[in-house]
Amino acid sequence: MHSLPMHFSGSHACILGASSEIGMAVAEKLAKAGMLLTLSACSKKGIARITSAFPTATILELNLEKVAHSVTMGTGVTESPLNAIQQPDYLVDCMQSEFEGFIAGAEPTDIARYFETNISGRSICLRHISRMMLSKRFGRCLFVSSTAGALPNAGQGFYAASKRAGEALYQNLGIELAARGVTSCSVRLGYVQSGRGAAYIKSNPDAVNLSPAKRSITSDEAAATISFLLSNGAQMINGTTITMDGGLTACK
Amino acid sequence: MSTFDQVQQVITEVLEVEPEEVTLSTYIMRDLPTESIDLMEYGIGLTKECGISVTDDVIFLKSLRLHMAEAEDKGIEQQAHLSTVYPHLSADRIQELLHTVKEGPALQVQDIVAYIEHAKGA
Repeated sequence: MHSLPMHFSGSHACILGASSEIGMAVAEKLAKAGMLLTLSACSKKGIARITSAFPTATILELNLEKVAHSVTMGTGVTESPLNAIQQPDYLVDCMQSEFEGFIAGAEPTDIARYFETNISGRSICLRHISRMMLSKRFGRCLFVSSTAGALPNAGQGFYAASKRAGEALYQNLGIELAARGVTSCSVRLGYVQSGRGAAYIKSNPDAVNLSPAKRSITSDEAAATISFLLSNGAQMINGTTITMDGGLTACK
Repeated sequence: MSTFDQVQQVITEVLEVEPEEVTLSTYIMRDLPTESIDLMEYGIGLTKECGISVTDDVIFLKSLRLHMAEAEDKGIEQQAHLSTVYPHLSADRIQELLHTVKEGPALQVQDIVAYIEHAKGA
């Protein structure tokens, strides 16, 4: 086995949704590279998981629905947990709340809450972090998207819409700030053997055979690609979306 | 360090211009090579340097013309309306803005200084 080293100019990474399997796998790789970590989760269970796995990391309980809601209601974000995020060089956004439903069948309040979290909350969070990056003229942001953004199954309309919105936000960030040293991209993952992907594959075992690679992606593979996309060597992959799905969306 | 010194430092750092080019009467958009993204960087830099919360729209008079039109639509005096929207600006300065805005972007360094001093005193 041969290996090529990856270089990172920065030393501090913030991972949103770090208690997900992909978030944990990325955190592990970056911790091994000597990176300082700020990790967020939105549930007590998630907080316990990342605290136990990464005892030296800064841990943040971050509920983006509450963040967005406080802004909408005009209560301000001065006491927001976002203020606990200190000058990261890298942002990996794995945050995604769960919600599936038919467009015509979902409850309006669920729709509003879902988008408040996954679009408004994400935007406010990205604004906050990118401003810190801009002030030191260095930053690399990566959004973990999904092939559902391109090819959603029935019931995934809201999920797909929020992923596409996320891609658009990160694309624009890269367009707007690249000249000031802050770049950004998204990675669309296909079937990943983790979290809701693993649950889906378990109930639909033939799904992975739709991919020319005839297998799912492991969390470790996803984390390795994400780590590369954060590295100095990938900085010119900016304002775009990379697909990592074994060829799933390349064919009929 | 005076408030003006802080503002001057932020602007010179962002634009990489000489301090002499930034005086109280310097027009931010007309005399300096300021782009909209620079305004964002000024806002971030001033928040950091001065320890205050900056609302870009107000400190940089971004919606000045909009507020003037708004006053006209509502049939209220522009001077009075702008005093409400920009409480950091003196009556004389607002009067001056109303006269000079037709010549181009009217924001001057002194307006940014006034905003920060107002915020510091609040």
